[in-house]
Amino acid sequence: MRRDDRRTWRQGRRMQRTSWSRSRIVAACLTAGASGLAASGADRVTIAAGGVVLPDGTIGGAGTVVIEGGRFREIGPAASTPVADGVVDHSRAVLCAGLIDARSALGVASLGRHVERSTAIAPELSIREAIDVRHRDFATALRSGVTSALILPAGNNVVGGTAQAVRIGAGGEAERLREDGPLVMTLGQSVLEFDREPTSRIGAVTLLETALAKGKGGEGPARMRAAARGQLDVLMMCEAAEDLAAAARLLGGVGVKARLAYTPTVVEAESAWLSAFEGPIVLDVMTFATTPRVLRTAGLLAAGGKEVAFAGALPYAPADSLRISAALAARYGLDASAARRAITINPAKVAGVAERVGSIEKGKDADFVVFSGDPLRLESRVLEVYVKGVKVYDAALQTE
Amino acid sequence: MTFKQQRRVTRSGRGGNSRSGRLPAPAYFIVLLGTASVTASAHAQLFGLGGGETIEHARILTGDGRVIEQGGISIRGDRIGDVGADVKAGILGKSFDATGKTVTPGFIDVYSGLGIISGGGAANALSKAADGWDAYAADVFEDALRNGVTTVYVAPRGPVGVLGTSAIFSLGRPGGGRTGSAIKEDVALHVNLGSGQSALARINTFNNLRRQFREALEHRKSLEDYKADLEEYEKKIKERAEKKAKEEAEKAKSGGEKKEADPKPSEKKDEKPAEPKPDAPKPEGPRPGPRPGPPRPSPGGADGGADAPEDATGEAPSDEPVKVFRSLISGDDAPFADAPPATGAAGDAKKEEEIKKPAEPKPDRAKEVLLKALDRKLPVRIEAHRSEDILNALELAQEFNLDLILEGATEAYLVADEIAKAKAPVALGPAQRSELRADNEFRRHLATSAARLSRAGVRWAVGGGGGVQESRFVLANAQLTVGALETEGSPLELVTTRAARFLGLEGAGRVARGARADLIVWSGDPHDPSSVVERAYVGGKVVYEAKADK
Repeated sequence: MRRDDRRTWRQGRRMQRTSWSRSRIVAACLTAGASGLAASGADRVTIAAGGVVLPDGTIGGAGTVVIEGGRFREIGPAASTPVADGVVDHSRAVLCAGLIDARSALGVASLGRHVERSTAIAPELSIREAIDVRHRDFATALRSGVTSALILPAGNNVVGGTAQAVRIGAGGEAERLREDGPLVMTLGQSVLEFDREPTSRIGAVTLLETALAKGKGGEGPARMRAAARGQLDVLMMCEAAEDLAAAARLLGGVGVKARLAYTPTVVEAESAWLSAFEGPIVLDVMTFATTPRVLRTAGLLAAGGKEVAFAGALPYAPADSLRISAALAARYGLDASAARRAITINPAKVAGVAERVGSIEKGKDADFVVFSGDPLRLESRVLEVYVKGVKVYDAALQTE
Repeated sequence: MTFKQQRRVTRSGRGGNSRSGRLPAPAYFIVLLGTASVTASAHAQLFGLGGGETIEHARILTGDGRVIEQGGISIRGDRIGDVGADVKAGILGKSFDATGKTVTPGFIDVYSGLGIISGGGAANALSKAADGWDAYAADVFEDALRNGVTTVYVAPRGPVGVLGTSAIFSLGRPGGGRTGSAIKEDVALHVNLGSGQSALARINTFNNLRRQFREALEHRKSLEDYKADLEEYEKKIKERAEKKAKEEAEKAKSGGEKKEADPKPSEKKDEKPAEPKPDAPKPEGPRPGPRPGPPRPSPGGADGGADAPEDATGEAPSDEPVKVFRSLISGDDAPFADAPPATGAAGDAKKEEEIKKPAEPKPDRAKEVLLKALDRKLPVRIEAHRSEDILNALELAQEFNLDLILEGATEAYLVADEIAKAKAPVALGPAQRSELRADNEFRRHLATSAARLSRAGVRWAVGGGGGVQESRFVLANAQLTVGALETEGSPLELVTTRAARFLGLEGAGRVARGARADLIVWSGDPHDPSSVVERAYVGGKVVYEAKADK
């Protein structure tokens, strides 16, 4: 659907126009900003940027970003040359919202098994109980510009419990971005076990169907009931096109609009199946070893009017895997701005936290990265990372 | 794609492209050069000397850091004719209008696995990467070309130990549906120290390696000894023949009757154990034909496999099976090597000739490959990731005076000074690896390794890392590498001029007169992931063209 695309584009432009037109306010803010507050720890920070990644994924020209109370207060065009005193000079850099890993194992990967495997329907489990919030992997992710992540239970259960959206703060410590959810369901080869149900693909589908029907009828665990009634958002993970078809049918049967995470082993997904889902589609991490066929998936989905979000698969994948995924998908047909959205605002939508993070927009939390250039260009490096308006990483201060 | 979207793309492309807009001073030099040679170019085209195309109105990134904002490149045969702002196709010349497009040299992966049929098999110094080239893997090659890669350095990979020799392939189309032709074969001898193994296995691998090099030297020694012994032997044969002739002459003079030779093997002068001579030895020296030697019906093991195909047919002459059978029954290890078998009176009669002919050492082609490396005629590229293995490689190179190149070298930054001292260049692999630190060879991977090597004065290049798929993204890997360097650098330069220099490909990796006409026409800047390859030339011929849909 092109309509979605165009709407996003218009929104982006509107955003751009409205904020750009308030240059007078910005100028006023600038004066205030110039009253001499240091960048870090200050309540109000003004940054002169060489470029700003806008909510629609395009890169706007030189601009000024004002942060107050840990939030973006104003985003406007460049106010003055040379950069006024008291303004943080990033006039050769590009500001981008903090990157978000849409399918992460940060803080849980090295802690052993993080999924219950005695039962395949485990909605009452929460991955947040297993997260080591001070794990050093969080700090590593932060250095690569990743400020938030949706941490998922491993996909070995048909209903694997709830995921947890986190933000990585100062010192690399994770904090919850929302209380709970979404609830993660999986169909695919990995849910099959020889010593517990389901042992077959048919068994898996039947199990999920039964659980959803029970929930709809007010039976079973509370989260299952909530999910079946549309009170708890669902993230459906599908490993192949036939899983996608089954999931679309099951969820459609109970009237649940889930978000979709999809391992694109095949691109035969029919649009009718895809329309059973809402929001951006999460695609698996792309690496230098990913086959051309899979690399084309994102571009093809986008051409079909779907938004995509990339799994960073941190810490299993390299630190820059989000940018690598986006860059490779761009090389294989995904529009550059869609590729930038796929690692910022779209994963925020998947995690259900888009009203707070994922784009540089007035009122949102000031979680952003100062890149030396376009984040899609892999030679661009992370210069600084801010979370809630506070500088939490500075490459210049790093010692090897 | 709507018009608006297109505009958006262009704008965003420019937004991130702040670094590449500069026109360095040397570009003007190129412009001048181009002006000077334009007439020659036009004439060449007019007289049909080149028959190649001229790319016109292109933004040219020459690969060595220079930028020609708008210019042309003429192709003559498989080489680049002229490059410059004024280079245009002649009146009769064929031209390709590259207005708004960017032309770069084809990328070179110094550490590739592209097109190589991988698999198990034992390590063998005689393996040649060129023999594993899958010329019909059209999809893989097309994908490499559509990402700008035209030249790859491939090596046998898989097991540990001495793996064989590498080759450099160019992704041209020799015809018949095949892709790729070797520009250079036997480029280097490949060794994998198996850094992923357990400590004990790594020690074993290294000791085996050292032993193989020592054995190669011993092999040479035995060849030299044989040569000396053979000379000695021939001298003796000659002396005896002369003596005999003299005796016979005397006998003839005295009118004595002829007698057969003394049957007793009394004149054992040669101390070395030698093979028996059932026939009368011919004093002409070593015979080229089938020679009775120890039979090796199933040549196995690391060194045995080497000369198997030739010897299998050469050995075991048709009159030998009885002996072989007998030896098998008796359990004799080397039925032909030791004491003379009872062959009857005729054989015994000839024993009077017994001056033992020295045994020629078995030809060993595997050892000869190692000897080439020991003579520094063949560089040795050693894949080692852990610092201990890297130090071992340096030690080996010093002990045997090898022309060492390190490959992979994940922990090279820890021993950068030692590498610099040994003057060993390093072919680096992936710039990024997982942060999950398992106890494997990559566990101390550091993105800034290249920067540390530079500071220590180590010469390095960056490649895809030896995988089949990774090779196509060698520029992306170079971009990540540059991103981790403290200084500004050109990723393009890393995978063109620098890579060419690293591999000793003098006439490749740059857009310059006389260089190989491996050229890529991009829709935009190649560092921008939204840019696509529209056309790829290898050896002056178009080998890839983007399909019309995108």
